[in-house]
Amino acid sequence: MDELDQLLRRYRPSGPPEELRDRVLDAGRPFQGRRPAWEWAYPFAAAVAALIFYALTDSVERRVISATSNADLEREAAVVQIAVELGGDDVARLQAEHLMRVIESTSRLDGPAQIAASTEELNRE
Amino acid sequence: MNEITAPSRRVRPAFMRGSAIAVALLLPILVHSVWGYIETRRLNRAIQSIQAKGEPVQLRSEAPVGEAATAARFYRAAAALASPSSPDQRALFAQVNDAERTGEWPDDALSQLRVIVGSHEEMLSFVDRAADMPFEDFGPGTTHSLFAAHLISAIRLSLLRAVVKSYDGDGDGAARSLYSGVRGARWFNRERTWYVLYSVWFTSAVKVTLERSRASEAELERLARALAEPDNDDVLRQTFLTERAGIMREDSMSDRWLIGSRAAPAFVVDRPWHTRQFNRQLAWYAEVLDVVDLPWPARIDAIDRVDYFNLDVQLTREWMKKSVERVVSSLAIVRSVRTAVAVERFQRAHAGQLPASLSELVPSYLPSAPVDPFTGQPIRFSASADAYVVYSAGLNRTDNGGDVAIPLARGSDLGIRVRFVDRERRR
Repeated sequence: MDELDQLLRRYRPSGPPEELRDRVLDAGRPFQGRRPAWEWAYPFAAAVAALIFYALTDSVERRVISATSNADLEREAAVVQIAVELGGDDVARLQAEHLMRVIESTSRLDGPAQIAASTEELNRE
Repeated sequence: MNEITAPSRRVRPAFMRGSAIAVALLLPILVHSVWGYIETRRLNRAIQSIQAKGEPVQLRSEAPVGEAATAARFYRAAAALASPSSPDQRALFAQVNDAERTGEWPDDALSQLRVIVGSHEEMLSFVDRAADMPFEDFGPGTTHSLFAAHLISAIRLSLLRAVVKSYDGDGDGAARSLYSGVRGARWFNRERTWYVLYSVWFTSAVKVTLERSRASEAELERLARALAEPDNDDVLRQTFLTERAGIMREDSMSDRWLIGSRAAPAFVVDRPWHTRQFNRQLAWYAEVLDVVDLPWPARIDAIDRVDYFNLDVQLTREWMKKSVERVVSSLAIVRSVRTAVAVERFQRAHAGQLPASLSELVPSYLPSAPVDPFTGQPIRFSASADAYVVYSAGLNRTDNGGDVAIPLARGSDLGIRVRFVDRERRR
């Protein structure tokens, strides 16, 4: 008997590791933490930040383009060119301005270069 | 039985994994957006800094008005009438090229030249009529390539007319032709390649005119005024300012790095990189423009020392160096020729006597002593029994004794040699 007791003492199974209890309990318990959306806060913040920086970049870039673009000057040049073709006086200038506005409003053109091109087409007609 | 208490569980593992993947995907995009923003801000600051200095950020784009518009129409008409060369004319121009370099004009070449000049009277009259008018550019929308070649032909023919008229003894006609030729070059006097080529033709025509004819003081004075315009000490600054404004053209067809382009979807991805490269280019121009006001020739060397960068990889450092040399060579040639015209006027006013030094030309014939851009010293002047030479030390910056026989040769001087072909008639 003593021998048996000694053997049982020697080979008594040890208990499970401490953390196993928590894991087992945790797996069986319904979710009680914060809303799942919270976990998406980081990617959401990254996406919003990226969008903000793209928007800011666009805004700065528009300032750069307006500083370096010839669009206004080319429009003016196109108006002067039309005015000269129409006679070159003040009335011709007014007519040219009007014609330019008509062209701009009726054609989906992006720039004076295209406007000038379409004016040439109009003249040919 | 003990009550089981577990730590609160905040995150579902599946969500945790999903959000981590999303963050990993979004992080490069975030970095890309921040980088783009930083580079664009830098670009904006650079452009504001350029504007604050009063320097151009866009090329002139106004259509010419008034007399300038009329001059533009005349030049356009002249270019249109500058017909392409026939095979015979091309053979003639081969002879002309030789004559321009050697200064010897064979009779048969002159005869053919007379015919060609005579058949282009109408074209030349347009060049003459535009010469007295204010003019800078043709305005936006001008297709320059072929048109430029034709206009340059017209200008060259005006210079060749000076040669013909000189040999025919019409000094005033020759000087007027030179005047038209010089004024006609206003359009491309900032274009390095064309202008340096033009300067060879122009030097040759002036040389023949001074050697072979006797223009009136009034015509020479008019020519001298026209020559003052391209004799611009600030030519390098203007060249770089124009170039920089040119690369900022939003509508430039050749600009792969153009600002604000939305044409290619790839540009959205590349934008921070392109903007960075553009910023590097602007930084290079800023550094160069900081040194272009140094004295001659330190500014040439200082430009070469600036750490080179060009958006267009085909434009190598060597290309840039040669471009700068072309601009400076053109200036040295124009300066020498302008001085030669002043020497001629001095000679007329002093019974055929040459000035002992160029300082005698100041202030009656030149506003100040002309400086050789390759040495920083005065332009050189020497006279012998049969000729005088006005010259710059040239690309090798060494005085080769006025050896200007081969135009633009690296080992020789740059300038003009005027022989006393008919000394009695000149007096």
